Amino acid sequence: MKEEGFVRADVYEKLTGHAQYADDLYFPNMLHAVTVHAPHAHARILSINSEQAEYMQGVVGVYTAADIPGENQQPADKPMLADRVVCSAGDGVAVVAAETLEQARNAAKKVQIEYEILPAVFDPDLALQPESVILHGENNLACEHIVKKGDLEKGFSQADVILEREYHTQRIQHAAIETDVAVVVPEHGGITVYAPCKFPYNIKNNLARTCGLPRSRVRVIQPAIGGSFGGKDIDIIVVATRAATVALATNRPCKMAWTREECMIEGTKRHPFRLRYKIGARRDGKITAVQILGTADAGAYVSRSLATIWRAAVEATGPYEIENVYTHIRAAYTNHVYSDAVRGFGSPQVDFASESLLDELAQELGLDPFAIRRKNMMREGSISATGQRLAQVSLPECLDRLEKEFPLDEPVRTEEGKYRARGIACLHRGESYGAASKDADVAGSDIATYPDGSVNIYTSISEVGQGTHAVMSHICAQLLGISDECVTVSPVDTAYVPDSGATAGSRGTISGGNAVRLAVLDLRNRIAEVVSGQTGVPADEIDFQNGGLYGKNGTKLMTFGEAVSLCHALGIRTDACGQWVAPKTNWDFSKGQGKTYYGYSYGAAGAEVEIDPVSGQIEVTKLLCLHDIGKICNYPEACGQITGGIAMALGFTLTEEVEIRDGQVKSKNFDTYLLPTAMDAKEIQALPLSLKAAENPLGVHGVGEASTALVAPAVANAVARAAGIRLRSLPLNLERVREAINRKGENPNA
Amino acid sequence: MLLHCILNDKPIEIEADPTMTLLDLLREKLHLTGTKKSCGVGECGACTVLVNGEPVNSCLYMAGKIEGKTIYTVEGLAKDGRLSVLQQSFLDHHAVQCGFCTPGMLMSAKALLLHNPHPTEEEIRRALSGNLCRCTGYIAIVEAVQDAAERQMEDQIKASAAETPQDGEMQG
Repeated sequence: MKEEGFVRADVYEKLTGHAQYADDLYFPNMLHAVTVHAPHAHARILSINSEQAEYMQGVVGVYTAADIPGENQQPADKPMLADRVVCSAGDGVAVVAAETLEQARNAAKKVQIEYEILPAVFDPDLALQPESVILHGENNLACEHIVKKGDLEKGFSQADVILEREYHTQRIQHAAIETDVAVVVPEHGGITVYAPCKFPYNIKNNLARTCGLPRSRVRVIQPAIGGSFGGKDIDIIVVATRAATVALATNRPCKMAWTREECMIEGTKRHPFRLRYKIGARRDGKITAVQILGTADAGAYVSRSLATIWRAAVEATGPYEIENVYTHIRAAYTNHVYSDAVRGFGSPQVDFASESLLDELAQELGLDPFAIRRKNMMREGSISATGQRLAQVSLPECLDRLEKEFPLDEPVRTEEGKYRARGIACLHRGESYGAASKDADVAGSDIATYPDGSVNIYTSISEVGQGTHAVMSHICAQLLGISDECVTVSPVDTAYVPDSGATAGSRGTISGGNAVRLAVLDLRNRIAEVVSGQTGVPADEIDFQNGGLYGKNGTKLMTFGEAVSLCHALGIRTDACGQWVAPKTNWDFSKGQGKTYYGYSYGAAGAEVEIDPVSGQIEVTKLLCLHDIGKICNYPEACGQITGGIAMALGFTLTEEVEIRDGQVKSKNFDTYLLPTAMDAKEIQALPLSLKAAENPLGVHGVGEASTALVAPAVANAVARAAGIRLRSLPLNLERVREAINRKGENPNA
Repeated sequence: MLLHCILNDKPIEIEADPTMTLLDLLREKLHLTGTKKSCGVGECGACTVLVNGEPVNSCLYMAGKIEGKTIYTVEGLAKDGRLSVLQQSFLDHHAVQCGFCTPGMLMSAKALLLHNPHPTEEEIRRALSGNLCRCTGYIAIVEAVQDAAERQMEDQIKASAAETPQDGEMQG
C-alpha cells in the first residue's frame, strides 16, 4: 500500500537545474583558492617557500597558518592550516589564491615545503601504549566512556554459557555527491559565508573564532545542499576558514571547492571500531552479563569523537535489558585522517557487533534468533544499561511485525550452488544530542504571517535532502488551518534565522517541527484574542481551518489573511518565535549512569542473502527494514529517507572502505571507493511504522540515522546461517567471504 | 577556437579552448550550472549530458568535440515553464532528495527512453548504474523512470489518436 504524501517545494528547482549549490555561485572579482596538502602522515614543517608560486600568472597570494586571522587551532583539534607539525597525510599546509581555478591549482604544485619526517602510529591500540609516539598532550587517549550497571562477576557466575568475540568495523566516508565548498564574501565589516552545512550557527561561531571577528559580523547563507550524511560541518569550517583567510587578506570574494580526491584525503571519516565482547547467558537464553571493551580510531584530531564514542558506549549492549554490564570504549589518536560524525554516530559500529553476537549466542544455545531477542528485549518500563527507565518502547511490536513480514525460513542451497538464508537484527537508538553533548539541545523556529494569508518559516534546521523543510511547512499549515502552498521556509541565512542547532542526531523534524508548533500556538492565541475582540466570539472557541477562522457553530468569522490584516491595523505583531527545549537528560561520568537520551526509537530488519562460494560474492536478495517513527509526517519521503539509509548501510556492509596504508589514503575517488549503484540496491523495502507516539508534543521520531544501523548485522547473520561462516569484520567483501569459506572447507568445525 | 553546436534546441557560437572539458564549458563559459561536478573522473555521472542523443560524462568530454553536434543539458528538459514527463515523474515518485545527482540521473534516463521507450526494470537499473546517488537508494528513481515510460506511451497513444504531428525528439 502506498500512502499519500505531499510534494516538496525545493524539488522544482532541483529538477530543472536551477537550484544553486555553493559551487554554482559566482561573484564579481571572485578569487579561487586551492589547498596545498601535506604528503606525510607525521612530520615537522621546516620551511615553506612560496616564492615561485607567488610569481606565477594570476596568483594573488600564498597563505599559511600564520595568516589565519583568528585562532588557528583548538587544543587537540584540527588546525585550519598545519602549523609547525602535520599529524596526518592530507592536512592542509598552505592556501594558494589566484584569479582562476586552473592558475591556483598550477601554483599549488609549486609551493615548496620542507619536512622532517617523524615516527608515526597507525594502530589505535598501539597508540595507547606508553611507548607510543604522542600526537597531543600527555597520551593518545582522545576520550573514553564507561557504562556500569550491576555486578559483572555475579552476572558471569550465573551464566551457563560464556562467549568472547571480537568485531571490527572499517573507516567509511559520508560521500555526499556534492563535495565540500565554501564561498566567502568580505562585506559589512565582516564576512558572508555561502556554504552547504548541517549546522549554520556552528559554522558562524567557528568562523568568528578562526577569523577573529565578532559573531555578529559573520553571516552564513545556505545555498542548496548536495547531501550531508553527518558531514558538511567540520570540513566546511576548514574549507570556509581557508577561503575567508584569502577574502579578508585581499578584500575580494573567494571560493574554495574541494575536489573528490581532497574530500577523500583530508575530509573526516567514520571511526573504525574494535569491539571485544564477553557475554554470559543461561541455558534458556536470558543474558546475565555483558562486558564490552572497545577501541576506536579517532585519527589525528579530536573533532566529535567525544559524542560519537559516548553514544556507542550507551548503545553497545543493544536493545536488551541486561542486569550486569560494563562497557568501556576508548578513542585513540593515530596519524590517520581524522574521524568524525558520519550518519549513525557510533550506532552502526556497535549495532553490527551486538546484533552479530546475539545470533552467535542463539546458535550456541540452539535458540531461534527471534526467541533469544524476545527473551531479552526492552519492553515498556525496562531499565537500560545506564539505569534509565524506558517508555514508549515498541520493540516487541517491531519484532512481531518483522516475523510476520519476514519469517526465518530454513537455509537452502540453490540450484546454482549458492547458499541462501535469512538473518535479522533489531535496534534501539537514542534520539537527538543526548546528555553528554556540549551543545544545548534547543531549537528556534520563527514564523511571520502576512495579510495575503501567506506565511514564512525561519529556521536553521537544514534541508540536506531529507525533506525536513516541507515537513515543517506542513506542520505549520495544519496548525494554522491553511494549505501547504501558503507556507514557505525562507532560505537559511543567519542574518535572520534563529539558531536551531544541528541537523544531526536525527533531530531535524523533532526539534524544528516542535519549535514551529510552539511559534504557531503562540501566534494563534494572539490572533484569536484580536478576532475575539472584533467579533465577540470567545477566543477559545475560535477554530483555524480551511484558510479561515470559525466560531463554535461553524460560522466563518473571516479569512486567515483578514485576521492577520486586522492585527496589523491594531498594531499587534503577526510574527512569533518558537523555542523547542528538549526534555532534560543527565549523565554521571563517574558512575557511568544517567538519563542518556530523552527518547529512544526502535526498529528491526531482515536480510536474505545468496552467497556464491566460488567468487565469495554476497548478493542481498531481500532487505526489509521497519522503523517505528511515531507520527509519520510525509510517508513517501519517510520511505525515501529510510531506503537511502539502507543503501548507505549496504555500502558499509559490503563494499565501502577508505583504504589507508602507512597513513596514505588509497581510495581517492569513486573508482576505488565503491558506493552502491542502481545495480546493487534492488529488493529493498522500507517500512515506516506508526506504533507508539514519540515522547514529544508532535509524537515524531527521527529516522535519518537509525536506518543506517540495521543492515550490516542482518546481512552478517544471514551469511552465517546460509554458509556457516561468521564474519566479524566489515566490509563483508569477496576476499573475506572466500577466505572464510576456504577455512571452513579445511576444518568443517571452524 | 570558435565552436558551434545546438544547445538545448538553440544554435550557439562560443569562443573556447577546445581542450577544456564540456563540463567546464557549460558551467563556466555558458553559465549552465545545472550540470554538476563531483568526481571529475567519469565515475559518478553527476555531469551527464546528451551529445547527439548519447549520454556522456561531460567531465571527460573535450569541448572541441561538440562542433556541429546537438547537446542537451538538464536546463533543456522543461518547456515553457512546464516540467517534462520525466521530471514530473521524478517529482511524483519522490525521487529527488538533495538533488545533486538529479540532473545527471535525468539525462541518463532521458537517453535510455530515447533509445528504448519500454525498458524493463533491469534495463533501467543498468542505464542508471553509472549515476551515483547517496540519498535515495535508487528505488524511487527506478520507479519514476518506469512510470515516465508508461506515461510517454499513453501520451503517444493519445497523440496518434488525435492524429496530430509528433515531436518525438524531446518528449522525455
